[in-house]
Amino acid sequence: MIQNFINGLYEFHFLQNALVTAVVIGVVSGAVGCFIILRGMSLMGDAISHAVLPGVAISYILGINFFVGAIIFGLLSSIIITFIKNNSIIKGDTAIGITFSSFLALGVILIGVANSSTDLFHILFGNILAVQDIDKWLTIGVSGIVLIVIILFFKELLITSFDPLMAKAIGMKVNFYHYLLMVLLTLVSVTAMQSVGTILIVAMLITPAATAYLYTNSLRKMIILSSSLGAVSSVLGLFIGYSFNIAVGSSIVITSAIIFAISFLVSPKQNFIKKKVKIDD
Amino acid sequence: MIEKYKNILITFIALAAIVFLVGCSNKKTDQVTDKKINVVVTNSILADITKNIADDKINLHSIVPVGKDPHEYEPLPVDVQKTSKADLIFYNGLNLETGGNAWFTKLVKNANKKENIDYFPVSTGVEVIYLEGKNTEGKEDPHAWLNLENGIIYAKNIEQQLSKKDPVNKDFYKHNLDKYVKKLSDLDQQAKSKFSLIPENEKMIVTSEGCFKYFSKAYNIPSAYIWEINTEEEGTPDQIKNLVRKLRATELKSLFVESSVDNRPMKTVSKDTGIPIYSTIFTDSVAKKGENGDSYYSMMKWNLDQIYKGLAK
Repeated sequence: MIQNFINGLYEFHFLQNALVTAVVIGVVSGAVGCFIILRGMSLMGDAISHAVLPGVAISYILGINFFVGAIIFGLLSSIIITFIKNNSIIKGDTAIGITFSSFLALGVILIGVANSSTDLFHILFGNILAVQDIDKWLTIGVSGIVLIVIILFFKELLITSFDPLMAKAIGMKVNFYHYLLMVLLTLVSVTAMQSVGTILIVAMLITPAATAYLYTNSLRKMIILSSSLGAVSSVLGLFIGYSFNIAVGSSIVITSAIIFAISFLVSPKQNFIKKKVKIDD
Repeated sequence: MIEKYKNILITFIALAAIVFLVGCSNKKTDQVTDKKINVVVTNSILADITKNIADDKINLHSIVPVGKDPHEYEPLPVDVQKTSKADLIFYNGLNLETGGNAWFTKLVKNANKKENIDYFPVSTGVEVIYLEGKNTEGKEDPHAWLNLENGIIYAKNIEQQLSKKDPVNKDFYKHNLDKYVKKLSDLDQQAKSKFSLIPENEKMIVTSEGCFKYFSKAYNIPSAYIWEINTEEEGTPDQIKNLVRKLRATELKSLFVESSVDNRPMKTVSKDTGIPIYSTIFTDSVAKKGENGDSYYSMMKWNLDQIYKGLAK
């Protein structure tokens, strides 16, 4: 079976494209995901990935690259969510619920109006096997930028994530870093759209990061571990999808969930099994 | 008390104002009380055939918009409204609108319409081809119209029902039908003589959906596809793998992609086989108005021309 997969890689260009794209997305979403879960913004990832839908439709209508529209709408939604949260008695999760479902609904309407052959199904679930050369290079380029930004602003992102109050006290622009992270999140959501699709992006963002969190307390180690887990899930998921002829995006998500489940049981930090034994005693 | 509810009141007034304004600006001349019969058809191809026969003697509504996939569609409010008011409804049948999510079945049931009284399949009398390895009802290949001879059967069926429902214009319909059938069969004859000139080992139509079975049979050109019908999963690893391997063993010069599907899986196949995609052809929908292929006739002409040019390259 493994031999079959490797032969396939030599034989088919589409499989090479799929592998490269899936690994790159796994790495970059694993890295960004660490900040997302540490800031308690897992749902924000979900919200932004759904909120880019009207942007995609409008890009189609105007005939521009869907990256542009998607990023504008992703940022718009994060601004609206933050604004509602900061300026009313309504809590964050409610603000997210209102915003992302409205954007999603708007997206569905716009796609209907656009009369495109772009099926909603393809945007919602993606198809990594249909990735073209240009999509692959775009993914690599955008992911490179995101990773460079994370490396450059690592210290600032770390402080604002763990202790926003202190960061504010020493004069750091906490809001700037919040929106910087939103931009990164939007970029990742848009690139991951074509591999796992809008609905499953959130899994790529938070599952590897959450798994890594079970093993380490150092952010640096956590990011490296999470990115590696993302990449491994992508390769394994693609392998399973290809070998058994099932949906690749979903295989990737299930693979990373299984890795999480195993880690949950065996991780030293969680100590689930030992704790259980102690209670039984 | 009033103070407290003032804001809510303002919100409602604002909403009412918006609804009122939208309602006013959208005033259509929907309440025409002419004596024309109301005809609803399911897609742009049937709409064009019907228009060629009935011209301005009927009010025509076409459900699935140009460029959209007729296999899976969610009817909009206006579709439901027009369908329930329709005197006559034409659908393709053969598992097209009734396969997959079966939107048409639900639509006519809700509109309380009866088969062969209110709604008619235009494909009656067509020699049915089934999906591969499945010879049962509900597994028919719907794309009968891609053979012009079947298009002529469609036109005759439509004329027959129109004349029954609207006997006043009977002669008008018959006259238009004869003219239209002549036009279609001329094109059919031309195509048949043209395609017989292409060498056997270069004859094959490759498209995303396996919709060319009727076409293949009529013009004696084998066809290959990524997925068999739009209601199944599109572009799985096995589908792409099998097609690529099959194509590598041929001398084929061109691939084709349909206007109403995602073109990326076919681009993938093209990249892997080195065979270029020659052209976009029309299968499940006519082209946008004003472009090449914006009627059933011109769409078939475009397909036949492009396929001929692509294969004889």
